[in-house]
Amino acid sequence: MGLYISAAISGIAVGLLYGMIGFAIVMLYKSTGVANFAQGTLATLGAFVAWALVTDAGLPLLAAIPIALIASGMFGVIVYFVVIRPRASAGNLNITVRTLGLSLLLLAVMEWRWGALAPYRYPTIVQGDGIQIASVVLPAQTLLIAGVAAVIMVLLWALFRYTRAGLSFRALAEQPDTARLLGLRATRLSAATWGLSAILGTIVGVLLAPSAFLAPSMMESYLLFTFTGIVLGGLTSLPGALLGSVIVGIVSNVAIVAFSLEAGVLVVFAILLIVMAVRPQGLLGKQEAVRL
Amino acid sequence: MIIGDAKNRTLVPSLVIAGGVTVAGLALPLDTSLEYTLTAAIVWAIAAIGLDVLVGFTGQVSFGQAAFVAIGAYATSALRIHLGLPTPIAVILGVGATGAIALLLGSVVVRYRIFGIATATLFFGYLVVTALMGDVLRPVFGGANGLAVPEFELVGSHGKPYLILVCAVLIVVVYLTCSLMDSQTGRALRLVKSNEAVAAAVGIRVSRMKMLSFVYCCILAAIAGVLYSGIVGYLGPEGFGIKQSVNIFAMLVVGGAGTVGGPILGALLVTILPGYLLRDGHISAIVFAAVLLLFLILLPEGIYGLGQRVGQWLVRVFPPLGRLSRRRARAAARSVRHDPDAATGTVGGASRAVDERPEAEAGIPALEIDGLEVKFGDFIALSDVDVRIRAGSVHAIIGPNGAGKTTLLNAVSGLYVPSRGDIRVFGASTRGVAPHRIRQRGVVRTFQTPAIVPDLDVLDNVKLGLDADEKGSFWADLLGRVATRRRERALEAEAQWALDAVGIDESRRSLLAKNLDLSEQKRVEIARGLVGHARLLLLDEPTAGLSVKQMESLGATLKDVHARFGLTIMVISHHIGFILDIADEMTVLDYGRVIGNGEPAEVLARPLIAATFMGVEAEAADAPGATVGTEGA
Repeated sequence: MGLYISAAISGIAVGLLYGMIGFAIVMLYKSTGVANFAQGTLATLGAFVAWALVTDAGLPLLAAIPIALIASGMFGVIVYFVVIRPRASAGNLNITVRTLGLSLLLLAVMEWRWGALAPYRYPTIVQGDGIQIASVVLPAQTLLIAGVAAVIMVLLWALFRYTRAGLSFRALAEQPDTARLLGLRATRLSAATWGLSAILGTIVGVLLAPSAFLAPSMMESYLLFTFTGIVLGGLTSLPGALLGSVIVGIVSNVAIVAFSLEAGVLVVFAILLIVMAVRPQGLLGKQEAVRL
Repeated sequence: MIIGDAKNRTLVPSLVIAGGVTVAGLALPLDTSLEYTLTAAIVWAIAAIGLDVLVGFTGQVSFGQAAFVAIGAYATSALRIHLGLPTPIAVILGVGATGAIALLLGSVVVRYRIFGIATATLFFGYLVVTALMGDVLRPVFGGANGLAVPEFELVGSHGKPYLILVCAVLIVVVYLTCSLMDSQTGRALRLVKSNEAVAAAVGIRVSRMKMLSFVYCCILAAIAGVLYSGIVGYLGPEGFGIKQSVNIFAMLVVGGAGTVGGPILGALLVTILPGYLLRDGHISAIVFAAVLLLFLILLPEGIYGLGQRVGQWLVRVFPPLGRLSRRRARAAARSVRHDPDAATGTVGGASRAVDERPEAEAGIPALEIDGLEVKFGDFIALSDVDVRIRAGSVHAIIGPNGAGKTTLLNAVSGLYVPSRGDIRVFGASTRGVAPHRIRQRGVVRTFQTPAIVPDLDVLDNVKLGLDADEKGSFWADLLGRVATRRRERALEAEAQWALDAVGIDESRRSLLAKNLDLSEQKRVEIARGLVGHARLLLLDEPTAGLSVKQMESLGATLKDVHARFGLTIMVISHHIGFILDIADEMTVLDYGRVIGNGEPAEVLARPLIAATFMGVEAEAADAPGATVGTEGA
């Protein structure tokens, strides 16, 4: 039983990580209609950059991470202007496949630069056992992840609720065409969303790498589970993405401990299909009315 | 629309591409390695053509195509190895099993939009590879060690004989797929791609069409899998991962989606460039991803689209070439030109419209709406709405923007489900009846913005209106004109008749629908309604955006078809002049409620209504062309 409880607790931690990636994907999906399949590789790239700053440039981890965050924010904006914005009229599927192509490109570059010796052991920000309640141990890393997730949620909520940029973003997500006609700077906002997505990715990458070990393909299965969490949550709901992701994290972890890796994947897939069949709008999503 | 236009009549160029690849593969002195790569490229091309049907023509996605290639390959090979079945039987069972799995998965995922389908298929791809790697299926599929595939009889496992087999399959697949996409089935898929709600209102079973497309896509993947298992001689799970699914998608995009022939070119580029020219390394992966991105950004139409543009450019530069292609176009136009007698010999709207009006005499109203309420969440869009429309009359619905007029039409055509009240069409309730069934009862509608397939020609768009009545067969559609010539000729005669009735010039009928002007597009939509068993025509703002002259001529057309076929018409419009001209009765909506009902001129003369709606004094309201609100301006 204790085994399952600790599996569930680490499941919550990975679920929160899925959820943070999910935030980035849902934000982009709401404002631009594009599912960003490069979100996972962006996270890995951020983790690699921080790691390279530590091992190659000899910086302390706590100095390397802020630099990596800033660099990834700038990279996200560059990606938007180079890959996404040109010929945006080509359609959402075209842009979605562009994110897949971007993902392949970043993956290939990381494989070429760092792939030969991967996976790497990754330095942790905090270590040790954190708190122990009865027989259940909450590792420090798990507590850190939960803390960071909570801070990010509050920051994003405050951003959307109280700032001008947040208001513009909500307008863009609700009625993209009208928002543009009203003079909203959609380009600037989209670029900022890409930058923010890349930053969120790097945060997740840095938090995940100590337990997953750093490798170019580190995020592949994570991205899949993130997308599942988003669909469970209802595609366009930020809290839904978090809830769905935590459910996926707990269920997959417990199933893997109880049965096997394949069973874990199978159970999550079964949940995905069941939710899609029974509740197409997801757990917290709204049924969309088609306008004719 | 999520992906660009599909191309029409791709059979000839696609067969030229497939034939060219075959001739080149057989005639050129290829070294063993290149010959192997070419054969593999053609195999992947077959899977990519399947994906084209789903993506380019139906507007759906799948990021798990490689998994279905794997299922076809593994199932067939396991049946041959473990049960010792003869190859043809193993192939039929293996491909059939893949189709069955696709049907199961498809029945859940097709109800979703792009995000859900992408996630589920991507996940399915990951799941298949995980399962093939795992311990549970190891005794059957060999786990990570893989499965050694015995050579095929007659063709062996490599060299020219195998290449001939693969090319023959490719040519057959191209022929069948192009035929299907140019048939009634293909047109229905393309309407689903351009607008699902409209497709349902036209009488197409949307989910079923999407399933058909998904299963077709996966069956071609399975066929590719069988051919792949023969050439590699060894199946390992890692070759069918997410990366390969993305590769197949890349073939489609690079070659050009919605073209059938394009994915063949894409498969050649995507397979031969990294596999043969760059010998698979890190650099190859980087170049591959960069090429994919460049194509997506600079050339979203793919190689096929580029070829088409180069062709048009050549015609401009060398006019003699143009004369040649014009001659072909003229020949095509001649075959399209109609024979006025043909319509009378068919089951056309013309012949059926006359004898099917018993309800007019019996006094059954065409439409009765009692106490209708439609809610969106907590918002009540319509409440307590009663409307009665006499069979054979023209009934107008007016009201300011947001009054619930379109919602009312959507409820009648079954797109919205009322929370309260009842709707009876010719006496029969439509409660719980699906949109395509309501369409089969003769309820035909048009939409505010013309809901036609922009990349399909005018005639084909009108033929779509017959989908609910003149059921074709999928199998006949696969065989192409050989099997469908008679039906197509009948459909065409009907379509020509309807286009005559709404006054679309003959010279405009072979154009793509997106090249028509707004008033023509609206007429095409009405023609699409006329060809079927239309008994109740619902028109949503047919006059919006039209000039006064166009409006007058549309009014004349409507009066004409109304008189000739005894149709009942329910029309939403903001143009009072137009309504006074054509309507027998009128219902006024405001804030989701009926506030007036009766003979148009009389209702408009009521001071309350004039004051509420025109925002002007009553006498000004009679001026022809006066509009309510600004929507139509």
